[in-house]
Amino acid sequence: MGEPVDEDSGATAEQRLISDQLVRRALDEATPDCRALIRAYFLEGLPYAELASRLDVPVGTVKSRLFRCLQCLRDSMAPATHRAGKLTP
Amino acid sequence: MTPDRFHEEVRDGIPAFVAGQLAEDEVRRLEAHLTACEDCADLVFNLRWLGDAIGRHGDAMFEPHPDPAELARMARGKPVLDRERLERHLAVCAACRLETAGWSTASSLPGAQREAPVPKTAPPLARAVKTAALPAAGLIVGLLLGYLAAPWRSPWNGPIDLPVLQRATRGSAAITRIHVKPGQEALVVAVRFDPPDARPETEILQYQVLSSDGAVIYTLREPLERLRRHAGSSGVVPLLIDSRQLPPGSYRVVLTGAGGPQDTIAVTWFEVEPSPTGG
Repeated sequence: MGEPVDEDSGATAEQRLISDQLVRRALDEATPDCRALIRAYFLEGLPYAELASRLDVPVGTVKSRLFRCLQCLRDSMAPATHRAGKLTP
Repeated sequence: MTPDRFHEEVRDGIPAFVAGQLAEDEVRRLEAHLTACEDCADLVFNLRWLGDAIGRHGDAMFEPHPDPAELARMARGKPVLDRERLERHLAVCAACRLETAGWSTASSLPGAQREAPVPKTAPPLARAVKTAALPAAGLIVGLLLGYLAAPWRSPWNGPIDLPVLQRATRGSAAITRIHVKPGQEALVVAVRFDPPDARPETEILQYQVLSSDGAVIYTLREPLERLRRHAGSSGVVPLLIDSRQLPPGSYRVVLTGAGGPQDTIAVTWFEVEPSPTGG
């Protein structure tokens, strides 16, 4: 049986299902501050300057906080993704 | 510009790269950097699904888990407060989908009290199992069937077995042997869970699946309270593993407490065998 493949990403439905679970779990494990920052950047699409204004901190601080949050997400997801090269969409 | 400053400047573009918002020339610059910087390449590799997943599921990736009673009502076809939100959540949360499917399956089995009031508190599955008087293994099969038949599930191709791992040591007769079918990309295994004594409910316990050479294949970290909830009815915790990381061989499932490897609570083994169909 052939697998339906997403024409944009090349990922199968199973690949997307697994990657979605990994992302959701990593976000579950993130601190509330990190979740809020990641949500504001990736979902609301707020630029660094606006995030800095909202948090009342310099832009450089926003960048470093966001980067640290992404590193934490990476650490949550790494055990599952490191050996999953085939999952690359 | 110093190498460190260049690294920081390019590194600052990684969030925008993951979000798919980096300009074309900046993408080329970052990609060139990734070939030389292992740390940045590792970060991008592990975050490559983040932007896509958030783009497809939006707030469902951030919202808290719904009330179990609402999941039970939904599974029974009862009115719920926000069906759309529940469906959004179920699309990204395997644990809640299994729980919902369990409610659906348990309430449709012979002997189940279909019209029994939905409990207001978790764990709902415990009540359902007592009502239906099902053995744990039967429920788990039902869980999977319900899961696969659930109308809100994402497409999942091909049949998937749900092995319940027995307590076993390497090479023992009781060891569970699993065949991964050709093309099968996900494997759900159920691990027996005996709640450890004298531990705080908030303690984070960790399940890890390790290959025989000690490589970590899969990790699940949950508070004891949440594991109790998932295992409350059936005595098992389902683990969703990328089966392409499971070539034929022996694997350990290790449950540890907050003390890490020195704080091992339980270990069991399973073996993955080549598919008899030649895959």
